[in-house]
Amino acid sequence: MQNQKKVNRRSFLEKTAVAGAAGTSLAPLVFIKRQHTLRVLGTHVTLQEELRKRAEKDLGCKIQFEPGGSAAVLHKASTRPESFDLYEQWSNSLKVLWQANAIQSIEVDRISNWSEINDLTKTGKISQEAKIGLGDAPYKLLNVTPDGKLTSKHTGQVSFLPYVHNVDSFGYNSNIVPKGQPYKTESWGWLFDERWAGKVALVNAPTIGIFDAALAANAKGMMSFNDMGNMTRSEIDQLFDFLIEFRRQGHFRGMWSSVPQSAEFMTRGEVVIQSMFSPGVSTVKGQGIPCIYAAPKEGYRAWHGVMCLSAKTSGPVKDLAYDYMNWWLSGWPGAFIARQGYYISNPQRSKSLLSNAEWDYWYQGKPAAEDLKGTDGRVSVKKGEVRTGGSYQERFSNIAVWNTVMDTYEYSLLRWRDFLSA
Amino acid sequence: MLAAGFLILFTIVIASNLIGINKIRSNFETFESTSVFAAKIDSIKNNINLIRQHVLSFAFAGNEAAAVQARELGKELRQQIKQVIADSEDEEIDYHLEKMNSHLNSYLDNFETVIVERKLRNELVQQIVRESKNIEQLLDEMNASNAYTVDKVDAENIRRNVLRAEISALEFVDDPDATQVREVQEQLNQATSALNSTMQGDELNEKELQLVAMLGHFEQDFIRVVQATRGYLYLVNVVMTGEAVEFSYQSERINQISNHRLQETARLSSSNTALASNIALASAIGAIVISMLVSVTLVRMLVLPIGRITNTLTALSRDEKIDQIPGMERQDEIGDMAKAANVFREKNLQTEVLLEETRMLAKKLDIQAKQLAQSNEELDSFAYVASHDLKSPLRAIDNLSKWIYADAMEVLPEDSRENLQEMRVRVKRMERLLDDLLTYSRAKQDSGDIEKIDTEQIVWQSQQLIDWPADMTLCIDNELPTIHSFRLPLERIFQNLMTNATKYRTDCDSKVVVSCTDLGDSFQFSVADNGPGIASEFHTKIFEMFKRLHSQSEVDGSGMGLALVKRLVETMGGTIRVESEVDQGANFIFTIPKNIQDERTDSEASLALGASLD
Repeated sequence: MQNQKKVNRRSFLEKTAVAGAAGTSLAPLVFIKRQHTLRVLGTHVTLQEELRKRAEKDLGCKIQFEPGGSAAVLHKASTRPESFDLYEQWSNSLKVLWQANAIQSIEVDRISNWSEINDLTKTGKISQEAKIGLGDAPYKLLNVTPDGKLTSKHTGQVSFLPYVHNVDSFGYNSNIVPKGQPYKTESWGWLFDERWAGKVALVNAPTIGIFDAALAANAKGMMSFNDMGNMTRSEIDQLFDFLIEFRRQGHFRGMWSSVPQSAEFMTRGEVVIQSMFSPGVSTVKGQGIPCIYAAPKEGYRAWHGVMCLSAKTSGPVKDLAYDYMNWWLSGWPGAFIARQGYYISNPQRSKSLLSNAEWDYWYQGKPAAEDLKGTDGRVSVKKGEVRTGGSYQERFSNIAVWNTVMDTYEYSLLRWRDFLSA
Repeated sequence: MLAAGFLILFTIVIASNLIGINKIRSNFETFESTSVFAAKIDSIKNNINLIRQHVLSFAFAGNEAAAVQARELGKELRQQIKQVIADSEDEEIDYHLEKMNSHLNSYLDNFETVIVERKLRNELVQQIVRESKNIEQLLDEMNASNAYTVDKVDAENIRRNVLRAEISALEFVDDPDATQVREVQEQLNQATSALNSTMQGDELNEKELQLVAMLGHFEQDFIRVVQATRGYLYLVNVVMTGEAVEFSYQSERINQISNHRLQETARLSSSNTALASNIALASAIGAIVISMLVSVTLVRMLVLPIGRITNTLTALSRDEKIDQIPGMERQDEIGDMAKAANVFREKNLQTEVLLEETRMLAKKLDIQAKQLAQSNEELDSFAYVASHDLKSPLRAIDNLSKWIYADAMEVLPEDSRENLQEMRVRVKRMERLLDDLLTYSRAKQDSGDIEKIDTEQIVWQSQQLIDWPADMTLCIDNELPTIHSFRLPLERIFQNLMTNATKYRTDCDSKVVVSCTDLGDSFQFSVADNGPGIASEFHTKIFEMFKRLHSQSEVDGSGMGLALVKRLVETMGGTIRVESEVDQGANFIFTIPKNIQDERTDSEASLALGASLD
């Protein structure tokens, strides 16, 4: 056991993990050229086979993806850090992981293109006029203090690698729901419009869906929040009283737990308006249903991808993990996910890998100059289409709230069950 | 044809009824299977609700038995759904069942994680309590041995921090909230700070390092408790509840589909019943129409031809002339009947020809008979006129000859006298001839009225009236009958026949036998003698007028006797014949009808009246 100067429990725990790894290195040194495998735990949003193959090819290593549902992967990541090397999920999972000591800080110096990362995660505002948004804006959780706290101030150590992000809202079938004007008439309050009773759905995730409901209740003037990004128990009670009453009146078709399920809800006609993610909207549109991804006047609910390094990862695999993180900011992956509607934190690096038409459509909010193909090779955007909400900057200047794990998270879980079971 | 008609009728009725019955039966089977299916879905819904109760009982109250029951029910439910999926044949229901199955699997899989996490949390909570005690114990040890750098005040602070951390941790377990997590971490931070602030020198001794490690483990275990708590709370409240709610939604959809199917089946059943009724009605109408068609066809094919043949036969029986028998061209039984009838027709035609010939002959005969009757009447009239008118000059001749003889008897030579005598004889004979002729011609008119006649008496009277030889015997063979007839003709018949017998008799033992036989509708009289007999070649001639077998000199007579007899017999409707051979006598046999009619015509009656007046 080695002696230490001024210790903190976090560094203690991290050091003990390293000591464990170092302990194994005391064995007789036998050079064995082995191909290390990088294990990545995450969701289907970023754990795509094309990305994995490309990364393996570019990095010359073996990469293992373990995609799963948000809750399952978060649980696994927070309780079994030894089961993964990199964890890819959303900023709202970061507090949980950090509290669980499941992840270790990332050294900014080892991220080659760190300087290219825009201000969204560095200062919280992509432009001067942009709203930071309520809740846990990623920039608040980005940096790690020496004593293991998360802060917005630059420390050289970060809790996650900023990379994929987007804004979410609700999608609606314009065959049924009259088409609105982005930022002007489109409103979260539509979710509680009685005209769509029985054909409304929310995402079955309290850290996300609760904000869709709160934004809707607030837009309808049903209630207001002191801080929607950190609701009190009484605010949660009030909100869920409304939700439960709506549910009892049959207002909701249900809650969806996966993107395919959300698409199925709408393509089967069970739902005409609901919380949606971008791929769900694309799927529904691909099946000929005019699904409009709204640009609510109240602002978007934003999310930010976090790539985290397992507390248990070290040595060559840790190097490999850094390689993989750097690869993500190297341009190609950003261009790849741009074609799926996601943004990358250093978009300029990917610009050269996108056609002008693609760049103009996906980032600039301009009409598509030509038919644009998605990553599956099929036309996903037809010539003349305009992305709802406008440019990247415009969209991220209109953030109402970030997906957040609030202090009342556990309580919201209980009320969520009451709501589902109503 | 008949069999085919009935076969069609039978087929239509049976087929239509079978269709109706099958449809209704199919509806009932669907109704039954849908009801059974809905009951299974209800059972599944009940089971998922039971499972949810057990899961919540375990998750929030730690009821281990509930977890076991939830698992057992889960297995049972999986089996139920598997069975229902296997039984289902409906694509839409299959979709919902597959969804239910998927949600159930997710629900039960997550429950396994919940069990693990909750147990882990309980263990970790126990461990935290132990670690808190261990920290306290270590602080006591350090205090007792004085082998540590932490002073008493700091030790108490550390002890208090750890105790507060433990309390907050336990509060979190009871009522999870992020503030408690922060409180635990804050207390542990304060303990670490206290430890660091009291450090003597740069290095920590073994006990101090042990304390740091214990604080680290405390926090690590508590964070794991937090994660486990959040994990199973998330799984139970969000993931599993979401799966259960979707499961219920899908089962509700199946129920709605089933109910819709039941309603649809009920509606179909109702419409099929109506359809079956309509089919039955239509088939009945169809059967009636077909039976009518069959009947009409049968009538046209059988009854009408038979009727035509019958009518033809009836016509044939009425001796109508039929050109052709209908149905001759047919090859069936009716054709055979027509052919048989044709034979009848041909015979009828032949008969018709014969009848026509007969009618022609009869007509001819009638004409001839009329001509003959007229001729006879004219002859009778002539005979009457001649005999009547000739008798006056004849009497004048007789009187003149008598007067000549009386006046000139003496002056006349012998020859002249003899001639004159002979002339008178001849005149007498001529007069008798004329009388006979007159009688003959008036035979029909002088019959008189029908009356009751004792024929035997007439025979005896006849014997009296005629010149009956004394040596000749008259025998009546048996009792002669009393009959209803014309008296005068009968008397003349007997008188003439008996006279005839007296004229033609042998010299010795001559006799006449009269007899009568009752023939039923007539009496047959016989007048038989034992005279010289008549050769058979003369049996007809003897009944002709003026026919004599002997000369006038041999037998006196006019030759009119038997002709008159024949005429009288025949006038009364009888017949006469003679049975005789030479030297064997002669037997005149005649009949008199019992039911005799006065057949004289008005002209004959008037003629008779005229004659009687004369």
